Amino acid sequence: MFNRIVDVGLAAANGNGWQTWMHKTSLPVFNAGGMWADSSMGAGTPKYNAYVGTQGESTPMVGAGNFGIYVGQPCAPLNKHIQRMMLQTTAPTLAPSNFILCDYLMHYPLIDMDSTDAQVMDNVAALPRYADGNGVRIMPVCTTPQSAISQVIVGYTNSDGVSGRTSSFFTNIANTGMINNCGVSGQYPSSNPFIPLQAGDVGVRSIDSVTCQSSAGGFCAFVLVYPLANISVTEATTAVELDFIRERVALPRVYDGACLNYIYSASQSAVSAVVRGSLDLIQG
Amino acid sequence: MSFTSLDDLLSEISAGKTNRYDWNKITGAAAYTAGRWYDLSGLNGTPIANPFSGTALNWQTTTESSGFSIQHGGNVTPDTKHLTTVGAYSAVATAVPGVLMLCDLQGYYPGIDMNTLSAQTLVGTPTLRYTNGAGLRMFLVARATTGATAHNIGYSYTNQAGTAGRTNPVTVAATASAIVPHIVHSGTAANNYGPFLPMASGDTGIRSVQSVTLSAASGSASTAALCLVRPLLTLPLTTAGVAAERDLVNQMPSLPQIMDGACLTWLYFAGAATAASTNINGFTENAWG
Repeated sequence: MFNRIVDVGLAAANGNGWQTWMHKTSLPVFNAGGMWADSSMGAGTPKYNAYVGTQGESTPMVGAGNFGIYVGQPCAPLNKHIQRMMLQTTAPTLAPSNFILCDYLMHYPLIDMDSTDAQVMDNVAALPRYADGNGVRIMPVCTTPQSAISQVIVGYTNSDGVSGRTSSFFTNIANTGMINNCGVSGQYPSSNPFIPLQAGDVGVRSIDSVTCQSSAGGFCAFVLVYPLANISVTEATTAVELDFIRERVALPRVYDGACLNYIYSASQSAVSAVVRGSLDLIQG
Repeated sequence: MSFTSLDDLLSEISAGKTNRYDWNKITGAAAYTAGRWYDLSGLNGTPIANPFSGTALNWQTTTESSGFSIQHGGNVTPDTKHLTTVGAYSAVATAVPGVLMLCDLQGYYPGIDMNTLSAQTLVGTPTLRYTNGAGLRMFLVARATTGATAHNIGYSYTNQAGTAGRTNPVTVAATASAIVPHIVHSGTAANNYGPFLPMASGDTGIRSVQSVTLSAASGSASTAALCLVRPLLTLPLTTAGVAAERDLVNQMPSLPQIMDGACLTWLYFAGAATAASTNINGFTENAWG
């Protein structure tokens, strides 16, 4: 734990940290501007995430090697934090854009978006990090394209351990890699990365069921994530840099086993871009 | 307690005494008008919409647990909690330029009848998070589309010193046919004021409101809610797709305090004719110590 700003500097000087790089050679293509998308389903480093697993079964996501942005080795009993971020894109079509760095915690793969039956999840595993679910959010990632609009009702257990909580959203026609979550039926500009939660809820511990009100087509992975930090890319080729101590007075915590990736949104549609960046991690 | 140094702030954050919340609001089915203020608390998104429930004309206290507040981490006394960073963005061109204002909604008087010119007596003693209502402001937000007949708003309130019978110092005009969630007295027309209702000379806060009287019935059955808020910060949205961000430690040193139980909601100033179903995303970060 850092007690003084100088402690952060000393940790860096002593090499008690890690600088990691990512380079995505292509990203999922939007159907329309204003949508959100999952960069983990793009090619490059970190490697492509296919959301493999058993249908409807809770599947923990633990960063290892090139799965998720590599954050260095576990450092317990020290704590690891993000000190700086940098992002850059070569594509004019991806500027301006907004990125959110998330710790991907767990996913439920192969949710059948054609089925109107209540699909009950098999929670064989619990959250590997943020165990109580406080601050954890749900994002529905399209893994096989949706071809129609449908209202979807999600049942979940909140961070207080109360089951039977519900929320709903709308799918839209979506490409693979889109976070297919619209607040208003048929309105791409109403896209949001995270499904709204029931009144008073501040997090999700597990997903209990998914029910499509009509057939939307394709499949989705419902992913539980913990949002860590935002960063905006304002113009192509210009790197944007963020120093958390000086510019945000925050030190986002990165837990051992974190599986980090970015989600992103842009005003323009049909973008597939090269994005690269770095994270400076500090341990103390 | 509060932060005694930047080192102290860093130490508290490093120890986990911090909270982050990602939010979004989606504007309604009708476009907004440039130059007017809107209360985003009644819109769908995360957090959920404020239903403005309660008995008409009776005070309703709102807190973080009311369900429609930006969540900020619960009560922290004896520590004090402060905003450290906020950001917001929209991919929709007509959402900019705009201004967001974060407020602590103390509560509201629901069910103000917008189709009568009879004086409406407001009931209940507000429970406030700010002693004597210091720094509080009020606004009237449409909860149903009001009628097309022109009407002014008169009101009587008790100020921060406990002096009752304080009234509007100027003529305040409401917008005819105001949509949900327009702050009805804001806009570009004569005698429009926004986002807050003018207060009598010398007043710096509001303890309670005793009555609301319209100069004419608006012409359609409709209601509004009178809200008491403490403004905390403003955040200009300048460019579509580009996040507006405020660092409240270094960039705009202020560290606005979030009181225990604060019900944080956003007001939105439309700089352009904001299209229907426009999504505005954002995040808030705070720390306590």
